[in-house]
Amino acid sequence: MEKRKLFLIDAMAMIYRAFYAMNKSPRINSRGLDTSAAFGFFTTLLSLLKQYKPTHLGIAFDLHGPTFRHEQFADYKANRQSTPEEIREMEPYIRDIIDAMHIPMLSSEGYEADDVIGTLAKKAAKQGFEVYMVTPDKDYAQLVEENVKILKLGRMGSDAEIWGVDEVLQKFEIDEPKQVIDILGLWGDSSDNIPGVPGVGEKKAKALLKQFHSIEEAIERCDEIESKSLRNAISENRDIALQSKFLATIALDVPIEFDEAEFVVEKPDFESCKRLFEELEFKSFSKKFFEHFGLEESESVQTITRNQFVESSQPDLFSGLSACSSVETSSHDYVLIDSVEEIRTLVKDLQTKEKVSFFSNKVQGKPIGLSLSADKEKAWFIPLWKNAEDCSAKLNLLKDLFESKDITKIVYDLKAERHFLSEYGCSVNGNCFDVQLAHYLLDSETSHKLDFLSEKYIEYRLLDDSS
Amino acid sequence: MEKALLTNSFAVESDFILNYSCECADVLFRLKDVLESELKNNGLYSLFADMEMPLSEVLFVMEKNGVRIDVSELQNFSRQLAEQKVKLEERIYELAGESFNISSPKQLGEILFTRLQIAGGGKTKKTSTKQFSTAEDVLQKLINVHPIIPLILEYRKLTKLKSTYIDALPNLVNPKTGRIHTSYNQTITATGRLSSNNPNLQNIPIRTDQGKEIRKCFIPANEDFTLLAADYSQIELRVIASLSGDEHLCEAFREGEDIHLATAAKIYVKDKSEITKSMRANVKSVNFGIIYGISAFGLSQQLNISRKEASDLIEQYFENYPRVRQYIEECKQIARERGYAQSMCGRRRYLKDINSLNVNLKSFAERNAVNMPVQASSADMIKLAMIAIHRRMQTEGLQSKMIMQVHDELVFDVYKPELEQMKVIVKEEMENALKLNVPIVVEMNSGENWLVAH
Repeated sequence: MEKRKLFLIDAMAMIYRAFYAMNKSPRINSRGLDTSAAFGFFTTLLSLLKQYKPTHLGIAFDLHGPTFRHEQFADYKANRQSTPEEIREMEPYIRDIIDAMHIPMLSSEGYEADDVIGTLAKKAAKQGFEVYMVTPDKDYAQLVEENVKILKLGRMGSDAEIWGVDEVLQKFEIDEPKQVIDILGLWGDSSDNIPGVPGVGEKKAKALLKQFHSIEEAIERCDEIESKSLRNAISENRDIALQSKFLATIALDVPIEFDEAEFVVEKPDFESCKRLFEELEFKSFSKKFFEHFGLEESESVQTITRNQFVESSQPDLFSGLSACSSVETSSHDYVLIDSVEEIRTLVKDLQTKEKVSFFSNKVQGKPIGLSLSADKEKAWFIPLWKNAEDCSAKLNLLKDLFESKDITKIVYDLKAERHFLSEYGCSVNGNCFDVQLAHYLLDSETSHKLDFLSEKYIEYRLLDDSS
Repeated sequence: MEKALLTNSFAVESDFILNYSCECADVLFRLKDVLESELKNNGLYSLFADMEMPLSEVLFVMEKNGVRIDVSELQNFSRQLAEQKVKLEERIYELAGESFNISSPKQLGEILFTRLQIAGGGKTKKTSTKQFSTAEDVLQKLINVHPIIPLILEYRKLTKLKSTYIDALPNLVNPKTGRIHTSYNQTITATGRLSSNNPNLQNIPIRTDQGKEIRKCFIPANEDFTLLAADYSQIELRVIASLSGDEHLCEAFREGEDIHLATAAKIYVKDKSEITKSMRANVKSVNFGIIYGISAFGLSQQLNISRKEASDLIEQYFENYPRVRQYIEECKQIARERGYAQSMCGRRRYLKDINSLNVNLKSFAERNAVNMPVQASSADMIKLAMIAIHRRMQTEGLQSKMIMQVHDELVFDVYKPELEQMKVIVKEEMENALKLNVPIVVEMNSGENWLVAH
C-alpha cells in the first residue's frame, strides 16, 4: 500500500516567511492592497504539493488569546512585535482560500500551533502515517521520531531541509530528540521568548547536556560542574531553567482528534478559489493552481495589467524546487568564437537580422569579452582578454554591426556600452533598446539588475557571479 | 567570478565565462519583447522611445564632453580655506581651553559636554556606541548656547567643502582630456530627475560664498569659448499653477509678477509696496512648501514662527488659491485609486503606502502624490529641452557643446562666434519643450566662468 504522507503546516510561520521574503518587491494589486503574504504563502503551498505530493494535509493556526504558557509565565512573548498590517489584512483571504481548498484549519483554545501540530503528529504516526511538520522553528525537533520529521523551508532559492532523528541528534549534539527541550531550556530562544539561563548559550548548553542528561540532573548534581561561573549560573537560575524547559515543551495532549478523512488532500472548490484569486489578482498563479488539480479554467484572455503581468512572471522563490530555468535546465547553444574567420562569418550572419543583443564583460575596467545573441537561447562569446591589440582588432571586425542603422540593438546600460565601444572607435547606431532604462520606467524604485529582471520577467535564473 | 578570473588562468574558467556572458546576451534578447509590451500596456512606451532613449545619447555626449576647471584657482582656494580653518581652530581651542581633534566626534563630544558642560537641555543624545552625539541637528539646537558651537559648525562646513569639492575636483580631471567628466545617472531617482556623480553637481552649495567660489572654477574650454547657463525660473511653481489651473496663481505668472510678492500681498492683504523682506521670505517658504506637502508644524520650524501663525499662513494661501487645495486632494485621490502618481508625460511613481493604515507611511505617500507630478513634470521638461537642443546643435553643425545639467539649469561651452545663435536655440527649445498654462521663463547668462554665467 502506498505510504500515507501527512503534512502539518505552521501557518503563521509560513506566512511571515513569505512576507519577509517578498519585502524587496512586494506584490500590490490594482487597489493598492499588498497581497504579498498570501501570494508567498500559496506559492509555497502549491510547490510543496507538487514536489512532495502529500496524501493528507492540515494547517495549524495560533489563536489570538492567551495560552497555557502565558498562564505560567506572564512575560511569555511579551516583546513580540505586533503583526504587520499587511499580514493582518491578508489573513482573512488566506483562511478563505484554505477553506475553499478543503484543507482543515487546526487550532485549540489555550494552545499554540506547535502544540496542535505536535499532538496530531503523534496521533497520526501511531496510525501508520509518515508525518512532516512544515516549520522553521527548532523547538519542533523534540517531536522527531522515525515517522515524524521536520520539513524546514529554506531561504529564497535554496532547498528545503528534512530533519529526521539523525539530523536532530547531530544538530543538537544530543542522544535523543526529547532532550531538545533541555537544550532550549538552558540556551533559551529569543524569538519564542524562552529566557533560558543567563550566560548559557548554545555551546555551554550542549556541553552541559553531554555531561548531564537533563536540566533536572544538572541542577541536582550542579556541584559537579567545573566552571564556577557556570555552576553559579545554574544554581541561581534553577527556576528559570525549569520554567524555560516547560515553555519549550510542546504539549501532546491537546484535545483535538486526528480524523484522517478530514485531512485527505482533495480538489479545491473551483468557484470560490477562482473568485478569491481574482480579487487578489493572482492570474497566472491561479492558472498553475488549477492545472495542478486538473481543473479547467475557461476564461477569455483579458488585457494584462501591470500587476497581472508582473505576477505572471514572479519567480517561485519559495520552494527548493524552483520554477525558474537556468543554464543547467534549459537547452541552449552558446558558442565561443575566437578567430577572425569565425567573427567575420558571424557578422555576415547577423547583418541579416532585425535585432541583435550584445553585452560587454569587464573586470576592473579590463575587457574580458563580448557576447551577442539574435535568437532565443543562442549566443556567441568573443574573448577580449588577450591584450589590447587583439581586443581592438576583434571589436573592429564587429564595427559594421554596431554602426548599422538597420539593426536594432538590445543592450543593458546603453551609455556604458557606448563609452566602452567608443574607446575602440565604434559607435552604436540604429534603433536601440536599453533594458535597464525600460525597467526604470516600469518601476523606478525596484532593482533593475539583470538577474532580478531575468527571474521576474522570463523566469530564468542567471549564473551566480559571486562564486 | 571576478576574483577567479584574475587569479586563475582563463582557459580553466572559460566555460563558466562563456555561459555567464552568453546568458546575459540571451536574456537581454528575450527581455526586449517582454519589456516592450509591458511598456506599451502601461502607456509608457512613448516616454521610453521618445524621451529616455534619445536622452541617453545626449547624456553620453555630455559625459564625453566634460567641463574644464581652473585647477590653479582651486588650489588657491584650497590654501585660503586651509588658512581659515587654522584660524577657526585657534579660536576653538581657545574657547575649549585645550587643543583637540575637532574632527573626532568622540573628542568633540567630550570637550563640549564634559569639559565645557554644555547642557543639551539635559538630554544629551548618545550614539549607539555610547558616545555623545555631535550630529548637525544636535549642534544646531545648541547654536545660541555657547559661542564655540557656531565655530564648530563653520569648521565642519569648511572641512566638508574642502574635501568634497576643492581638493577632490582636481583629482577628477582626466589627464587625457584635461577636463572633468561627471557621470549622469538616468535610472536612479524616483521622480525622473537626473543625478550626477564624480562630482555630484547637485550638492555644490549654491547660495553660500564658498559655493560661489567653486562655481567660479568651472571655466570654458579655452579663450575662444565662453560658458552659457540657462535656468528655468521657478519651474515647479509654474508647473503646479498649470496643473492645478488656479486662475489667481496663473494670472500672477501671466502678468509677469514676482510670485512671492504677489502671493504675500494677497495673504497679508496689503499693497505690494508694503510687503517687507521678511514677509516675502515667509511666503516664499509657503509657496515652495505647498509643493512638498508641508505641514503647519514643518513650516513653523522652518520659519521660526508659532504653529498657529504657520497654520494661518497656509490657510490664507489656500483661501487665495482655492484650486490648489482642490488639486492637492485630487492628486491624493488619484494616487489612491491607481496606486501611483504621474507626471505630465506619463512617468509613474508607484505609491504602495497610499492606503496604509500606518499614518507615517501614508502621509509620506500622500506628500509624494502631490510632489512627484510637479518634480517629474519639471524633469520631463528639461529632458525634452535637452533632446531638442542637442538635435538642433547637431543639425546646425555647431562647435558648441552641452556640458552640464543640474537642478533646473543647463550649461553650455559655447564657441564665441556661435553665442547669439546658441542663445536663440536654447531659449526657444527650453521654452517650448513642454507647454504649460502659464508662461515659461528661462533666465540666461554667459561669461568666463560658471559663477558669472549663472
